Amino acid sequence: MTGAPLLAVKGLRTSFRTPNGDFAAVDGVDLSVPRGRTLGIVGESGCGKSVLSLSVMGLVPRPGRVAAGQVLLEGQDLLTLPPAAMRHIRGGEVAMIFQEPMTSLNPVHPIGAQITEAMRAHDPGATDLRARAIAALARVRIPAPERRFDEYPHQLSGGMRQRVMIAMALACAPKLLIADEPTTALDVTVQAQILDLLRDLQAETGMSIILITHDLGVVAEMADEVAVMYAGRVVERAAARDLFEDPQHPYTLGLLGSVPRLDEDRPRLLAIEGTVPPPFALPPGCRFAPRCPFAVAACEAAPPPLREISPGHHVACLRAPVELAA
Amino acid sequence: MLRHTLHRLLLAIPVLLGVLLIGFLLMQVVPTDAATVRAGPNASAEVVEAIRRDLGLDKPLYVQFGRYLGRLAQGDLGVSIINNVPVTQELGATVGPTLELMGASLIWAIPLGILLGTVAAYWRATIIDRIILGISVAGGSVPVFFLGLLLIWFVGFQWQLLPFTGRGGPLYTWEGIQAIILPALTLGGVFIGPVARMTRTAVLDVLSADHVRTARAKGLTERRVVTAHALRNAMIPIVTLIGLQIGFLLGGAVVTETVFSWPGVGRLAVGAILSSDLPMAQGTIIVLSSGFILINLAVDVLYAALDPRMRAA
Repeated sequence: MTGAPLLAVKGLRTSFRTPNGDFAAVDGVDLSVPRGRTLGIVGESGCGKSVLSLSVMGLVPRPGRVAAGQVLLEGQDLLTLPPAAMRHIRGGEVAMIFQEPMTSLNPVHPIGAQITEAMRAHDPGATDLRARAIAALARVRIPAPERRFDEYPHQLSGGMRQRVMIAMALACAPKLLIADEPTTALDVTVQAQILDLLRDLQAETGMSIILITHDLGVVAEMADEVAVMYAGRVVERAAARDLFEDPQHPYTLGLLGSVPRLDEDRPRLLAIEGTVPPPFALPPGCRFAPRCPFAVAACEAAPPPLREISPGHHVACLRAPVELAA
Repeated sequence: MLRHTLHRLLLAIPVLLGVLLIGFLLMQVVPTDAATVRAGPNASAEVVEAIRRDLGLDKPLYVQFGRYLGRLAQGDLGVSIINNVPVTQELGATVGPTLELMGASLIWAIPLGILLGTVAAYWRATIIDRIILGISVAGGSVPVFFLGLLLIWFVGFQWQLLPFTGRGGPLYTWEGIQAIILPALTLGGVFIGPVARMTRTAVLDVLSADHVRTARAKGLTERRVVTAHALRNAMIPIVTLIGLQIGFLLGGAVVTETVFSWPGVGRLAVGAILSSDLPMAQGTIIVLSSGFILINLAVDVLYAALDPRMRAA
């Protein structure tokens, strides 16, 4: 992991204006994605991981807005780009696929037209669009792509639609692909196929991937590095192997403890006590403190900084490194 | 697609029969006796009876309805009680002007309404949205006759800018164009509000859809996101809703034609009803309701054309 990262997110804060006041769905997040690698972002629903990805794309829905921070793609801050230049980045340099392949494609346009539309947006003078789109469909292993080109989304299965989404996202050879829960809505077998496909395409193109998921199994299989998010903040960041072998944040421990395993004799799954605090009533200190079995008085006073406790392993916890007696 | 159309066409038949039956029964319950009207005020009771037998009005209702359908099937709608002219002949002369008026109203009102609705949806909850909402509520609340009278009073009478009575001639002549402007402004004016409001709702709905987010993520321009994705998809409910509103427009046409002395089916209907010309009134009801059925049929077919998911069905 040498050299400048492809993407670096610094101090990103995205807030939403509500009748109860502003609340930050993403609150001071730092991340980086090296070239050709995969960063997994894990957390439960509502932790801010999707808002984070939309912030990178410049697609935060109203009334949300990026309030502070930088999103540096090859050193260039995307947040300061004028709209036209940002449009060139979207779908060109950075592409995105979404959780719901059922609804993420427009039902009234043939899939081929939706792919060529993306190509034309980034290369107005492009020719041979049909052939290129068919090649893109073939690359995501869609059988009989010539025939599929003129079909509508409702004529395809969920897995096929996600393949179309991937073909569309990769149509302009992006350097970074953001995949927001790409397999959550799919059957398990289809899930594995899509993950395989993503891995192969990454090897083929050298693109970086940000994989957002709540599924630790998917992260373990795909990610080189993992960031764990809780209530809008990154609480732990480490190489995937380190995170799974030596989790340091109590929240990460809780997440790993709640995954069913076949190779261990565990009488019952561990659940994390309590619930995620609502965004307008966040505790002033560590946001996990109210649910944390290891919390001490200092945890409630001020938010713990993200510290490097071993090379490449960052934790935002005052008690780390903990030696677990469990 | 073809099957869908045929299916709709078949479904229209019972609707048409129902309309004919209700139209027929309505004419039975009005307190006017066709034989008395035709015989005139000074006719003797024997003459009235003779006319009644002659018209078949002494037969039971179902026989009358059956004969009525039989004549209808041969294109015979009867003869006007007032001036003895065949009803079909009068209708034939008035259908054209009504179609002209409706066309001239819709051709500007629908695009403008859709444009206003789309702009309002895109800039929702801003001052632009509020202004457009104000316009469409005001437009939808003004009665047709009142808007017509305002235009007649100012544009036609005070400022002498445009003619306001009758049809000036065929539409390819300058007189024809001039004469249709005020009626078309009136009838179209009251239609903008509903179209704009329906469009706003439909576009708002689509703008928050996942596939619009995908379109933005592809790096499309906002103009393309709105036209090729949001508005294109919103057209499906918009077309349906506009189709449903056409009945309202037919009612407006009756009023507009009366206010502007436009020689259309609506004015003919009002005249026939006021003079108790039952066959003529019945004829106009058939034409107006058939028009309504035809428009709905067109909407159904268009709906299928707009939504690929419907084509297989």
